[in-house]
Amino acid sequence: MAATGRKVSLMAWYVARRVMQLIPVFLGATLLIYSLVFLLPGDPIQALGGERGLPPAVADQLRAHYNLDKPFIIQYLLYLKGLLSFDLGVSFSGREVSEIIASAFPTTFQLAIMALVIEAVFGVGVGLIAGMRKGGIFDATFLVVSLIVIAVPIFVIGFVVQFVFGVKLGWFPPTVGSDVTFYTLLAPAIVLGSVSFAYVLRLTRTTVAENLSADYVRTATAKGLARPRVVRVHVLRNSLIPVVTFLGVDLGALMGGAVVTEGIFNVPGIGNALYTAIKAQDSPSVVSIVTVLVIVFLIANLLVDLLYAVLDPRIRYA
Amino acid sequence: MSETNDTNTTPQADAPREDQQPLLAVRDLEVSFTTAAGEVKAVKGIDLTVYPGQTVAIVGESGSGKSTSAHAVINLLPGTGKVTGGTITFDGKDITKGSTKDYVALRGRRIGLVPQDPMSNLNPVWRIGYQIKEALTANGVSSTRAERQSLTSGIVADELLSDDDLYLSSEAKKKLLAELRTALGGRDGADDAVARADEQLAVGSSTRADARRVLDEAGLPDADARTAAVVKGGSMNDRVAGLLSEAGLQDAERRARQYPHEFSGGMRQRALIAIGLAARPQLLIADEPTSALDVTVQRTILDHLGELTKELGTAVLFITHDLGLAAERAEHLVVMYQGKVVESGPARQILESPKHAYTKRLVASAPSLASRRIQSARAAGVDTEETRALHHGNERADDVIVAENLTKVFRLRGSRPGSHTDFTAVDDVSFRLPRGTTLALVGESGSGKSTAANMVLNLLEPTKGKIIFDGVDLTALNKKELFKFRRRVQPIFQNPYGSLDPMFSIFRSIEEPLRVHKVGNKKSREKRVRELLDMVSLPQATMRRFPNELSGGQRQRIAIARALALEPEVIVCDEAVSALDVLVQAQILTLLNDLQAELGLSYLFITHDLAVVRQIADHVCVMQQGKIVEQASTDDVFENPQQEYTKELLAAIPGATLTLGAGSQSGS
Amino acid sequence: MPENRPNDELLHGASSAPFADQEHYFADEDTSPVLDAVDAPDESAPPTSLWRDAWNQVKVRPLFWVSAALILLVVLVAAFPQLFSSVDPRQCDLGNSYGAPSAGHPFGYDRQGCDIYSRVIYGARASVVVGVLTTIGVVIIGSMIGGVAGFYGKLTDSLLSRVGDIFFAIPLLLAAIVTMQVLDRNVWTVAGVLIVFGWPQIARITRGAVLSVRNSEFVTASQALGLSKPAILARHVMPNAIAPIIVIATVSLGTFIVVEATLSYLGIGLPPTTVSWGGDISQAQAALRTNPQVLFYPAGALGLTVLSFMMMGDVVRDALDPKARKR
Repeated sequence: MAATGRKVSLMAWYVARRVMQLIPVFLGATLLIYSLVFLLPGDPIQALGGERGLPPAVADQLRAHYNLDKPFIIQYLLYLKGLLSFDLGVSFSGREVSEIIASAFPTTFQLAIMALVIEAVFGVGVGLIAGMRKGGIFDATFLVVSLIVIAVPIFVIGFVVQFVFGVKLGWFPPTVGSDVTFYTLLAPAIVLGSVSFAYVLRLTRTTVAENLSADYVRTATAKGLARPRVVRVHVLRNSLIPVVTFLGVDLGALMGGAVVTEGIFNVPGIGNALYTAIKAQDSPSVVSIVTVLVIVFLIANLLVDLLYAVLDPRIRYA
Repeated sequence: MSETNDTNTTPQADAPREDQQPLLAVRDLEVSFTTAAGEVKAVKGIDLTVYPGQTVAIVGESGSGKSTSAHAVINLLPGTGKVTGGTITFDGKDITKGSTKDYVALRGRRIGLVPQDPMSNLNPVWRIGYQIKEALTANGVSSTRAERQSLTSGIVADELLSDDDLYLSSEAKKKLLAELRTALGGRDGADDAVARADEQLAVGSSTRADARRVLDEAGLPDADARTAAVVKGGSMNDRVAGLLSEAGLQDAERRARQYPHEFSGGMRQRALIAIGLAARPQLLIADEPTSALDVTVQRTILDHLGELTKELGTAVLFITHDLGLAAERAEHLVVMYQGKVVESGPARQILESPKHAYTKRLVASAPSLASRRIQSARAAGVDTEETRALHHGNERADDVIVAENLTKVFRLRGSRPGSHTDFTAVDDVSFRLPRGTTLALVGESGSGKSTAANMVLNLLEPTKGKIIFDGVDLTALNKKELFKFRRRVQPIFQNPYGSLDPMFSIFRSIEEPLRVHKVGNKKSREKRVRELLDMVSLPQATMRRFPNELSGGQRQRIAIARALALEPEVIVCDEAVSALDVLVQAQILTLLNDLQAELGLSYLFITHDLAVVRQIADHVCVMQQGKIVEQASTDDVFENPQQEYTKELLAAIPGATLTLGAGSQSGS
Repeated sequence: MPENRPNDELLHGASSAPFADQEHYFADEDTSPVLDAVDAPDESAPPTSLWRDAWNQVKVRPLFWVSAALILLVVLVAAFPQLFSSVDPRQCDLGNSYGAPSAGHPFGYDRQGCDIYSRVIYGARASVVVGVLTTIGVVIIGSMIGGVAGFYGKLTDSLLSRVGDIFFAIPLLLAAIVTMQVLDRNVWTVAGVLIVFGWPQIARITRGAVLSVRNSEFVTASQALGLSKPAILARHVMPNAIAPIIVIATVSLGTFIVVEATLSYLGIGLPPTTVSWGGDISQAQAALRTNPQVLFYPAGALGLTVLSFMMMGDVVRDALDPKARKR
């Protein structure tokens, strides 16, 4: 009983430490984003008025309404305050930013999760086999395939998939539009996860090949365990640790890639919303969207760290 | 002079025995690896026999092929290794022709392995108990009762499955102890009796018969019936705990739930032993099972292993680089060198009259044996070549280093942010190093000897106390003076593979001290480097090479050359020979001795190996857990140890039980 | 059933006579000569360092030569495009829109009537320059920060790592998207943005490598020599941490080229006036169904360029892998 109690508190302290490390990063990142956007040229208020421009009084009023007349640091703090109460401001088009995000986020989230699952399952699976048969035909083939996938930009892959499988073969609808289902998101998910799949494959392959010659694997074999069990229990489990870490960091790459993929397949997600906002110089939207994405990324990393501690008992003492 | 390998009869001429079949018979075994340079033979045709219940030791240095041969037996060769010739016959069957399935059945169940490095041989992500359980389930071992072997004590086959062999489960033990406590009531000595019974009853290992006996002795009435009612066999977890306690681990039930990184080195090794013996194999291959451990722990574990295997009747194939250890633990020795067997036979005979040149060198160089010989010689009052080499003349009282009340406390970060624990690595240590002599700081891991050395080298600030070098207090020096001081004390470290910068050529490595301290010009420095290489008996052309091209012994010579570059007065040797093979070690020790005589150097020699101390040191400080336990001249410490711990260390030198006469060294 | 219990006599060890095949045997000296006293290094072999070792490993691999040749080709095209095409990529005649390939114009014409082949040739420079600049910047900044963080540890490490985390938290593409709104769009600013947000990765790798070297005994020996900390870092630690940096730099070069192309595709990278592969691909998107070749030529060139750097990275990693060097 005492042993488990102590273990719980060790984990609790580990979690607490990680969360505390997160806070300065969060503050720094949001500040960075905010100041980057702050530097956007042009006067968005005037742009709202279109060709004719706005009468100064109205412009001033709007400016005050959007807090654009206050010094930078005040704006930032007001924004932070809003963030913590889930008030993400109002976009220049009038819609609540939180509403924009709320409607677009689930789609992108679903897309990202699908991509993550695809890349994880296939990446680890193929990587495992490649690692076990290192130097063989299977391994060499997939090494080349993974290199090509990484080398070709994601938008080209997107075009090709859309063209070949969407238009020519008709297996998937070429664009998604408002019809968001598991099936319609499949093609974009595959494209989105393709580059990461290649990285996961290579990482798994290297880790598995390394672990196969580990001392404890030899001891396991010497115990009289059959090969399948040795691989499953000793090699795979230990090889998952670096892969899990990578998947967490990869979420950031997925969110970047989503901008492109959603554009190609016309998915009504956050990537598209972001792109539209940037083009319109809609700073409230841009800041909020990017901030939300960064938060998601940081939380994902935190979860990955925790998962890491579950997978590798040595870490809990670090 | 070619010698034949006829039967070499000993004075008591008994006819050689023919009455038993060998358990393991290796004939003409060849093992090859595929490298970039083609196929390389690691084992070049060796013969090896192990009889049931026998302990056979294979002795050799690195590269001799001893480990490779042993691993070939169970087909566990690393990388590209494979058996390319010869036969391995186990229990009458040629297993080199076996399929993968055959090997899986063989491993664990009939041949067990205890591997070398306890840290890397346990999977860090699974609990210890889990890893032991695997060994049981994979080999179909019953957890409920002890398995009897037939043909012991005349038991007939029918009686093999006796209930007396049922294991004690965790609940059963608790119940029985409770019953004992109530039965004994408040009598005098009741608590002691219960505690004793608690200690003697091991869950998963004690059988019903054992429980009956223990409880009977403790005074439990009707022990027979009670144990029969309660002891019904154990679960897998019980058996796992039982195996751990058989291997000598305390508090086995709790420990089984822990992870490998929570165990100490000795504990991990015991877990590996438990795994190796879990399925009660007929043969146990022990690959340097204690090389990574402290010397006292080594002795305890090996003693225990010896008892266990004797009790179970397990044959042991013991791999080691230490000839003294091998002779102490095994009946039969096989000496390997560069993939071949150069000598083999009964342990005593080989030690007393080695015939092959290599074996003779080993016997002459092994520190454990050398130290025994020197002791015996001095006890007999005989002056041998070895004892003569020890006299370093200089009995001048001038102390070049005096350490006064040195203390070093480290602050370790606790698991809670803000909390920390203080760890005292060195506790009020004082010693003196007379000029021109060697002072050894001896201790096991955690004794603080390296920390003390680092303070002498001024790599660590002492928390308290001071170091006086040639009359000057080091702590009082400013930065510039400290820089000049460094020329007078130089280190040589343990790991030859880490002590030289792989990016620096040998020339640059040796020249660096001269450059940093701005000694001479380019030409004079080059001359000095050549001089230094001569001093350590390496060809001058070596300076163009890089560390990765040199062997361990060669690298240590370079390290010595580098240390000598600035003409220091004191050299701190931090386990400088511990990582080297026996013969190379002997060469380096000789070199160090010669240099000391030539240049009047003083050595501060840090080591865990008391046997090496006998060969090189004039004075000894024995350290334990940060404190100095005993301090005297080497002679005194060896002949007249005062403290318990010192006696333990001396007893732990491998070969302690061997008696070697003063004249038993067969030339050197 | 096998007999596990030994014969009683064996228990008493050496006092009994040995078995026939366990009697005292020793090998013939001629067949098992013992090496000479002081083992000397092999004089005949030429001196090799880490680099020479790596070179020896690398030069026998066909993959190395293939990727080296490709890289060389790409660099040449980027540096001297006029050697490969005499046609001006900006000279476009709308009349030739989507024209078929002809002599001197092997890839045909794009929507504006520009010569595709020429645009592919001249587009190389933008990608290569951005890639090279970014990589150099990222390596210099990242290795310095990572090296200092790993070597000095404690507070310095915490601080620098947190700063790195902050920049790392914003995905490269997103950061570039936001920042490129603000700046002038040219090669320097694109590279600059990528450098500012791309250095944390190199810093992490460097920090890891430095941490593993920092506790080596040759570092301690240098300290005992009196070498100052910065000197130890520069002379001993960093050179030993270079290997993983080189590997990651080679691979990153490819990644940065892809990111630049993606930015151009989104219309926020290099301006349309600069001839670039990303921009061309972006333009070609509209006509994918009717004239796919307009997209595939620049895309193919881009893919091939990045592929060559990735393959080189693989080869270099294998050669510098410390585990592969058994000594």
